[in-house]
Amino acid sequence: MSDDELARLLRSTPARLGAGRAGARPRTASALDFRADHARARDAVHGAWSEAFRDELSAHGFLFVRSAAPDKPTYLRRPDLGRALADGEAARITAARTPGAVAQIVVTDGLSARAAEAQLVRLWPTLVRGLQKLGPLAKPVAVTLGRVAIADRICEASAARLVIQLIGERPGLATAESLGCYLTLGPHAGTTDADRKCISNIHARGLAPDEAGAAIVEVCERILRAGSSGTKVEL
Amino acid sequence: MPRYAASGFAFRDLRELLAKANEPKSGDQLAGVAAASAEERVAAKRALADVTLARFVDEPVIAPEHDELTRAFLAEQDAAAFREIAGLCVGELRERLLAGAFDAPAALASLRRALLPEHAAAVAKLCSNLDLALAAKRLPVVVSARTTLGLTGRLASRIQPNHPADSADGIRASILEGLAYGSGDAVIGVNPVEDRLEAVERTARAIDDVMTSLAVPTQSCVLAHVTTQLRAFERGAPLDLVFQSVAGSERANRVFGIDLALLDEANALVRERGRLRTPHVWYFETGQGSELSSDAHEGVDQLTLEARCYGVARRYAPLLVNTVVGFIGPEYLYDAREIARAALEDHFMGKLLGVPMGADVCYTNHAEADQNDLESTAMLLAAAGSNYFMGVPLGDDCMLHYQSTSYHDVAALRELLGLRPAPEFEAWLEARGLMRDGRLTARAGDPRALLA
Repeated sequence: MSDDELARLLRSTPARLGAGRAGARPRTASALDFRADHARARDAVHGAWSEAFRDELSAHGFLFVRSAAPDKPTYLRRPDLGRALADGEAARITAARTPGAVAQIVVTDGLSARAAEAQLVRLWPTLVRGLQKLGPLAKPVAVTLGRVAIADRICEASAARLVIQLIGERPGLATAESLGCYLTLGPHAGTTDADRKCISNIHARGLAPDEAGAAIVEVCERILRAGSSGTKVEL
Repeated sequence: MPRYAASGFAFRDLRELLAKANEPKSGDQLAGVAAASAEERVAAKRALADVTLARFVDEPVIAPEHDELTRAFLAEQDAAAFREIAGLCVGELRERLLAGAFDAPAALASLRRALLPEHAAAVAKLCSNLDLALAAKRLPVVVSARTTLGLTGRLASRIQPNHPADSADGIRASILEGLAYGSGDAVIGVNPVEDRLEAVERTARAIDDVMTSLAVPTQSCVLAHVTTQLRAFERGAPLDLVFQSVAGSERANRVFGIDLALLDEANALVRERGRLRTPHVWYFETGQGSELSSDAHEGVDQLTLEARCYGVARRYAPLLVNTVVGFIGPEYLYDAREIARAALEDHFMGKLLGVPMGADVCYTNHAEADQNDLESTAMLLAAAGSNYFMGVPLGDDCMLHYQSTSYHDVAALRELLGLRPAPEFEAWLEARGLMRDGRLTARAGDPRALLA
């Protein structure tokens, strides 16, 4: 194998190769680059939505609700609380319901508040335009300290047919801003992860947010046609 | 009527006693089985110390009629060997292990045949961290395929050359660098993104290309679901080891899509059709908390369930078993302290049961842990005699998005503790000019050294 061939192999992976060595340890710059990426991931886990982003969500007509998790440390330890709404929140959602809504959009901070903040603005126009063609939309809901299944509770309260949840994924070192999308038709108390479709890795170097909006709408259409969002249904 | 009591606390059954005797873990708290106070925890340990080993046979923590693992463990237990130790209490077993009463190979083999997984869990609950390390060091498990793993004074590693799109070139690049750092003597094992037959076959060929062209003495593995791997074995893919994640209850294994019948079937097929001529053709991964995360913990604490994973693993005489400690997240192991504790417990329990334990020492970015914590735990486990660790480029898995030990870490741990690679692999490294007298040479670390 030539040097050129080796260089080609190295270019084909985002793995941290060629970090160099100082004895058995990495070179200083490589070690610090790694720490910088980890620091970004940690800050994303422990961060919260900025005021500017909340204003933006308000401008789009979002209703803000809270999960049953009182704070971030509890949220990290108690996924069950992140899957439930705080007392009284379901009633607020029901009060704002749109009769006959086909889709409920839910935006959640999840494990990276930065993810929605970074991706939503570019994803939103195509998503909403596409969904509006399918029927009336429920008032969108923004939920803090939420996990995936909390969208089930929100959708039950709004009585929409289908829920589309955009949630910050657990940050890796490659990106701390990856957004995931979970789609669940007719969620109820017995719904499990096998009843959802998932589109993951929505970020600049994964599925670009501009394209993600249209991709989500397409999956929604197929789910409604198939009458199921279960993993066993091939779409 | 409570059956067990100490220091004014009562425990209604062995399952509750075992759970409350655990060191603090967020997963046990989440499951609602943890001790309510520090004093209750110690009382449970005291009561547990006085329970005879025979009691665990009479009172299975998961009823045999509900769980095929319990049935298998009881059926496989060597009754004659067990009679020798049945009257011992858990506290006495701890002392005997620490005092070296089973140092003779025949005594250790007999002990392992006698023990149920729950016995190993019970002893672990009475041990401090240093106890766990010291006792494990006396319990070597040596296994051989193309390389010999688990020898005293040796530390092996898995090259984990994962790629976010299963690129064969990307996988080759990571393997080459790993080999250049002296990693890869346990296995070259890829976690594929796609659990499809063609993807598994393509990745198997990518690994095999490097192994064959450089005559590397090691094993290959593609960590897809066992059913996908079986089809690849049937079609003659260049694979050595068969992999599966296992859990400690029948119900949790069903969530993984496996049961003992499927593992038995895989075992027979791989021994017949596989290319590795050794009794040790399996690679298993485990990790505390997986049963709770599948909502199949049966009211049992995560440490006891983890011991039961090793009970499953040892049925198949594996070459590699490792806990992926720290991968599962803070709701099960909250911080570096809980992760380090679990790592030492898992390694000890596996070794006590005769399983060739290594470890994926790792953390996710939502756990209260960082690179320093990972390195500390790896040092502890290396001192305790772990058979192997992972080797991931700089410790950043660009596919699974978590941090594990690196090629550098494996080299550094060997240097720190005077450990060497598996002997067959060390000879290969020497022949390639990458290692001399157990130390990396100046040209090590650069894949070009392999291609000359």
